[in-house]
Amino acid sequence: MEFGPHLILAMLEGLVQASVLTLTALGLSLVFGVMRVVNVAHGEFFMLGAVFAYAITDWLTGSAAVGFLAALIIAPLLVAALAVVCDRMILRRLDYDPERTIVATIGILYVLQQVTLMTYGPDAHPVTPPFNQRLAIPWFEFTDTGLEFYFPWGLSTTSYKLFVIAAACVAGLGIWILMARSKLGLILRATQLDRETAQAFGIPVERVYAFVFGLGAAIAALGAVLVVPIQQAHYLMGGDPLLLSFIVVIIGGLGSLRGTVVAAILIGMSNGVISVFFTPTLAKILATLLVAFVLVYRPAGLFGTKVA
Amino acid sequence: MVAVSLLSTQSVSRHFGGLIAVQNVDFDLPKGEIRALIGPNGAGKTTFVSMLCGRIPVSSGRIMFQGQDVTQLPAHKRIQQGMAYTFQITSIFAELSVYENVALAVQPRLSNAINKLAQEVETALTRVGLQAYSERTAGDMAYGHQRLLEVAMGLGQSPQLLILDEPTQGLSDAEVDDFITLIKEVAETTTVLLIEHNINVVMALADRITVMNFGEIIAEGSPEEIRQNDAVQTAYLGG
Amino acid sequence: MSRELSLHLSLITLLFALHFILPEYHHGNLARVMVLAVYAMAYNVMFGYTGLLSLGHAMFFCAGMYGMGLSMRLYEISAGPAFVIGLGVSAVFALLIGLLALRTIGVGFMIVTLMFSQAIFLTILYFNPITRGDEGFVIPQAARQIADIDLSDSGNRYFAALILFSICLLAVLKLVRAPTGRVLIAIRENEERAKMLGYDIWAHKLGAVVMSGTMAGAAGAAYGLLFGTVGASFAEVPFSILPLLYVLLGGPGTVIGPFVGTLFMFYLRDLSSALTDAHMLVAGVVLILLTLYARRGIMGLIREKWLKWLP
Repeated sequence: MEFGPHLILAMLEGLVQASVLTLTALGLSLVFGVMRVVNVAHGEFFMLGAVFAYAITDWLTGSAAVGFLAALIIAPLLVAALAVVCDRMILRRLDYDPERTIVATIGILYVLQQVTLMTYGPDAHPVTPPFNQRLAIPWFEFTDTGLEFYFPWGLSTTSYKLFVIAAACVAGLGIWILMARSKLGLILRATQLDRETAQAFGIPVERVYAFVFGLGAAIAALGAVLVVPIQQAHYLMGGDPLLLSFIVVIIGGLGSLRGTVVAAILIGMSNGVISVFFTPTLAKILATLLVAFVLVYRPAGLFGTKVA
Repeated sequence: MVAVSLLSTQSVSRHFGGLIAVQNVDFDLPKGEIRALIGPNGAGKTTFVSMLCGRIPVSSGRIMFQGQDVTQLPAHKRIQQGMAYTFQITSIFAELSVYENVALAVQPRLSNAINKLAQEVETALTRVGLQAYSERTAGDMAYGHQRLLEVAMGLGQSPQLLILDEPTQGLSDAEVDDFITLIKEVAETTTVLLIEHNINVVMALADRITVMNFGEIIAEGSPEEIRQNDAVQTAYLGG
Repeated sequence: MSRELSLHLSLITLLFALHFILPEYHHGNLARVMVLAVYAMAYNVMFGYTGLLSLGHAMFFCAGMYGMGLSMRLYEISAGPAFVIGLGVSAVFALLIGLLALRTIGVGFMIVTLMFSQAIFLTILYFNPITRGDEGFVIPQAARQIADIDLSDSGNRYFAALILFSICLLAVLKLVRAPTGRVLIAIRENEERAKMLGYDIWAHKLGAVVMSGTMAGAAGAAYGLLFGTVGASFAEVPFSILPLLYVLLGGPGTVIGPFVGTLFMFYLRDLSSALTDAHMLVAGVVLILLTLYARRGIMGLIREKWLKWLP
């Protein structure tokens, strides 16, 4: 394949990855923004979304579309419930102290991951997408007769992948409406700005925290359900999304949802492109070093507030 | 006898974004004096003093200490040069023993004579009357005693300049009296700069008083002069 | 002799005596535990005493391990000098990381160390032809000799581990009882106050990072030399979490704590691996319980309740 079509293919793949990454990173960013804690187990909530989706579609024999729809609704809810339990039983008892929370969430990471290993097993299992039409993409070239379109072999996408992109946009929009335009969003933003004052105004901060933690996990799980027909569910699949979400949230600026979205698109796209043209490992090396140096020299990231 | 200037500032200012906390302050503190720095809340006293000891940088101006320009010198180096600072909000090593707290203060100047450490700690603690508490965990003590520990740590450094930021806040009357006696004794060997709200303490101790309001010095002079100064009355009583 | 010193010397003597008593399986385990305990002690210097929580200590361990291993594999340098090279590499590496990472604090520091460590792991994978990546490589038995002493022999190996452990144990004891050690504790307890007593905070922290990194590198180089393996798994995130776990369990800010924690967790995982493949599960559960209920760890609790003089 020539460079042009190859680039388009890479960008499309990147866009799919960026869509999922946007959701995953938004979950992490929301939790940090409102609660000021870093949840290292975030990747495991993502993984559980995929694993639950597999379990649900596997259990609901019948049309793939119905199974998938059920998974899309139920899996995030299950993950959210689990997250709320973690918050109540562990994080709240630590009074959300930043360093202790990170250590505790590392523990939660291993518990979730290893219990999944023990029950779901070490193998990867696929989930059938609800629809999967191959769509060829045209490319152009200049010939004697002018601009001509043709369909390069190999340059295609699927209807499902386009659906993922669309679904992520809808979900992102939904989150934006929630945060910027609803009363609930107002409560969340108030708690984020000043916990004590919010409490003085009668906002039940602890319940807000539990809700936010659950919501953050649910959004990540939603991203996982969307990606699992493309990717397969595996107990270790939380590692990369966690790393990439970290990268996105730090570069976009901790606490800024807008920065998160912008950074997710940039990083998802470039990660996809570099992975296609070079190797995934090199892409990851560059990404991790980028985060490290951003934290060292520009801790505010692109949009956000300082990390203490 | 001409008084030697220990600490002086020229046009020192500090602003935070649009807010001007300290504005063009010229300040001079001769060696051997007890100077009180007073003024209403928000006058800029703590900001000014934080710039003197290096906790925050100046926005503009110069600070001279012992004849040297220390404006760019980091805080720990100024302390090494002979400044000591006690915090407005008590800041001790709460989980460590009283002994350890003072030992940390004394240690840097004893590099060749580290075996004298215990003796020096004992001396500092005795001067403030805390020698019996040596093994206690610092954070477990009563607030007044913690304030005294801070002073002991300041004394333990054997400084040229001792800066005390609201040292008598939270002390009982008896403790305040003891404190006054202590500082008078300390001032025989050390220059003292004292931020205080307690006027009795100020009048009992200060050789001279500097009054700040709205980030500027509005008056400076002997206790008598300040007591009769109209501008000071207005600042405190709101005219 | 002070009781502090006699306590630690007794431990060393006990470990010496155990060589003659222990059956082979436990004998081999204890050699491994001692090397890992050096890794944990290194972590303790930064975390337990100075209050710097790194999530990437595996990179220092690997700097030593690969510095030593690659010298032997690529340049056929003999074991003794290779060990020294491993030490040198980890010291320089720790200095570089310290210069960068110490520009951040708290949560930022944790993430930066995590990121650098991940980058090192990925780099080891990327240069697969040289490092043999995930698979790693073996250091042949014939090469693992110093002054004609065969280090693959279980007896020699045990004593080599014991020597390294003893040196590091006593070095840490000396550090924490010296004025510098007191300053590190002060920085952990109240950094602003320590600064206002005239201490150069940054220089002390950098010193702690370099000492910690070099000691971790020594553990890495020793591990490779004594057990013959060099591999990328020692650069992965779980291996950075382990010393945190060992120190938290054994008692952060105590000299003996890291050894106690390593011994405990090693056997806990050993026992649990008979039941399930999921050996990090125990690590996860213990971490959660420790953070919630027992932040002082075993030796920390003992110190608080009974042995107040314990360093």
